[in-house]
Amino acid sequence: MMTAILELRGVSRHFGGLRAVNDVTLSVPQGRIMGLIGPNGAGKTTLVNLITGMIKLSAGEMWFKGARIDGLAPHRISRLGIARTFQIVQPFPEMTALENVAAAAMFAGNIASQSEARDFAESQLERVGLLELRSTLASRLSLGQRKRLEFAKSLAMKPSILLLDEVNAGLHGGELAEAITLIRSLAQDGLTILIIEHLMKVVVSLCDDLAVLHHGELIANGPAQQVMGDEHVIKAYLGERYLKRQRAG
Amino acid sequence: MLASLAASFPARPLPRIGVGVLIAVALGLLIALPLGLDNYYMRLATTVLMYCVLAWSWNFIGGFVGYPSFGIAAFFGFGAYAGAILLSAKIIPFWLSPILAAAGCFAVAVVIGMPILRLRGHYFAVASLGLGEVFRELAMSWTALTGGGMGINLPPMRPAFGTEAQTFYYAMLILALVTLGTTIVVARSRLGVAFRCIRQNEEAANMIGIDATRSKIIAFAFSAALPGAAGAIYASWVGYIDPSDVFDILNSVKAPVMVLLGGTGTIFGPAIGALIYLVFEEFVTHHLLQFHAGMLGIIIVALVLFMPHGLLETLRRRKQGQA
Amino acid sequence: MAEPSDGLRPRFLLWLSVRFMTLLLQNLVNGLLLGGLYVCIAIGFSLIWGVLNIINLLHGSIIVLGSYIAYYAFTMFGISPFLAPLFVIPMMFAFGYGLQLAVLNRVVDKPVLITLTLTFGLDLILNNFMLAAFTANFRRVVFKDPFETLDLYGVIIPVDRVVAMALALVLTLAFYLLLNSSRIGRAIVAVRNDRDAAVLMGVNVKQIYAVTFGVGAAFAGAAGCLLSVVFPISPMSSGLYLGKAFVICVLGGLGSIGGALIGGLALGVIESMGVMLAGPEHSVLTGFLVLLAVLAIKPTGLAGKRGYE
Repeated sequence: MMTAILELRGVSRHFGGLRAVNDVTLSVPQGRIMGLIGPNGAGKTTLVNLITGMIKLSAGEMWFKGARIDGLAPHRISRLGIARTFQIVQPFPEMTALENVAAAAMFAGNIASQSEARDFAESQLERVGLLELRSTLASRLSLGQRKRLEFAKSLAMKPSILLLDEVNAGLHGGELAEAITLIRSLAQDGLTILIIEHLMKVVVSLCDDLAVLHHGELIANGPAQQVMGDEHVIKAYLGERYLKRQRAG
Repeated sequence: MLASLAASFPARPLPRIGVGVLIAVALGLLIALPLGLDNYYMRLATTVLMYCVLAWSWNFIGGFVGYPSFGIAAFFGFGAYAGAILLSAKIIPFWLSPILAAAGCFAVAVVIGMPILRLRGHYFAVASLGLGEVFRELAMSWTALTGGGMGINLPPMRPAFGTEAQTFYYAMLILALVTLGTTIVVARSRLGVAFRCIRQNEEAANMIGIDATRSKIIAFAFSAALPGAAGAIYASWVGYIDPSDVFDILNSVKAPVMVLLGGTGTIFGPAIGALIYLVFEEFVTHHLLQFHAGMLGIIIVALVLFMPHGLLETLRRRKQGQA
Repeated sequence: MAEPSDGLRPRFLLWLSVRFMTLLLQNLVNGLLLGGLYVCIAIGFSLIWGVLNIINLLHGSIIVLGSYIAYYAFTMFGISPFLAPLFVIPMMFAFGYGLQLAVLNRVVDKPVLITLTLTFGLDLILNNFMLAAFTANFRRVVFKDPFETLDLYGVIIPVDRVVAMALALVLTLAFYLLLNSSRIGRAIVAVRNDRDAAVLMGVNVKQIYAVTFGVGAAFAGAAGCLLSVVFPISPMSSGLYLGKAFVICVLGGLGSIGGALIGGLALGVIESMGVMLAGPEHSVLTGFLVLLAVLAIKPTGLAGKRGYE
């Protein structure tokens, strides 16, 4: 059994009568790429919001590197080494790319000196291929560039686990290939990655493990190949027709 | 517009020696100023310095962090009363009164900041505005401590050197320099980065490990402590305070108006705004006894409508347009 | 020996509890009568805030202006303040419409700080104008034949206040009908709910903003007419009315008539109970503490943000 870096135990979040996330128990193994998939409205983003402390749990526990993190404020959680990207990128628009990343390095990355934070930020910008644009205001970057900036910001936080929420949405062919390469290289450096993804192509090519959410519940969880073959998953995710076609084929 | 409200002061490399000389000359002038001024101009100079303190102080919460605070009057008045009460009880010397007033305001701001800094936009603005009204009412009704509507007469001060007017001028000068120094230090520190991030996107700031709540409370407390000290000096200076004077809602609006006047985004913008404002106040509105508040209103409306980037910036742009 | 006191004590307790209930009822009635007027103070303010996202710091002064017009119509021409809304409403509508079109439309998308500062400046002008024209002296509407008071089992009910409150509720109903049944009202609601969609549907948003501000000002003026019967009139009262309008919106929730209704009545009752417990000099403080308590629990007000439905 691999060691789990992040463990959710019976995690639930209800909004009024709506069970956005219901009794999810999930271990994210260290050093691997786990895909979090499921149809729209399945509760994936809510789950990420729960892990990062942006919203509070209704029930359950969350453990990170052996310490309990549910109930902690978001900034505390991020300082422990959980970084996320947003589905809709959220840079600081009036700051340059470098200042954006340096801010992340300074606070969550815990680098006290501002000049060291800048140096570290430059190396992260280089890692995502944005170094030439370091002095450009974030508001002037293209969508693809802003996504990469979001990556660099997350990396500057020196995370142990990276939560990527639809980081590839809206990217075109070339950008997409670059993003996949980047994610893979991060995993090779030992970073644990939990990725919410809609594009099956990306899921198949990246993920070691898969967790499937449907109506807020975890319906499957395990090695990618095994989960992809699970009938429940195929039914929930791809629909009945796909299943029939598969059988017929 | 939001971008222009951004009071971020990037650490630009400047020619060191030139700046050093400039600062030395300016300081020398400020220190020597009382020698050449009569009492009337001494009063104006002291008032400008006080307005600088208010404008720079407001800038912490209103400019850096971007929370539209109208709470300056609350803390100016609180500081004035704290100073007046302590001085008239004759338990502390004059120089200690602004320090204790600042400490008191800092503590009160931390406590009050916790609930009201959860609010945003209009809700925060009005809550901060209401704070002054509540303090005023407390000062009105807590007669045993504050003298209620009768106000407080402060004991006359015996200056250690020079005249009384000079003492207050230098006290206000020191406070203004402290405020300016704090502004510069904060602008270039981690805290300044945190402030800027919060202004642009509070949620994202939390996500990169910034304790937004704590940072906001610190900014709010700076914006309270420094006007509190100014209030304490003001109380000794004018010798008599009452609730409607020191909790005047106008003080809460003057501060952001001065910052808007001078233009945001520079360190000296608020100071220039304070100077322009005082010129207006002294030479235009004070001569219109019946309509001075209305005149101030007209100035504010004109400022917001025609010079939203501040007087200097508007002039600069016009010049550029011609060139 | 103890018999007489045994007979007296229950009677005394009964008397005491009746006295207490009467006092409580009296304060409840006072609160509701006051609250009806508060509803009228708040609806215009709430409309402007909800649709334009502007806190109209002029609101208190417009109310006072309405009071003055009613006062002078009464003293000079003998027109009852209860009829004054008939001409104050069109006057204030024109004032608000013009102001929005000429001035406020230019800053409607600006940050809170800018819109607040601008309406503060406008308020300084209007309030100073009234101070110069009418002086700070408190004026009162004094009827030749004073209204009677009813005495219902010890609970005193002043008839003038009842009439004022009834009219306030009629105005509120008219406001509701205006928003829900008229074309222009539907357009206002559409702009409030989704401005971009309204633009696509061909609504002239700037025009609607002006109408909205006009309607808000008109109802503020009408509230002023009714208030002139109950409270002394002075430019100094404007801040008080403004503060109440804000507290009501937070209490009842922003932007709905139901919210203003609940918030207004609630504030009236809270204030008169506060006066009973803490004395009349603390009514501003009571209101503010209630406000802080509500905001601490729900930062967007009790009823949250909802459209005009």
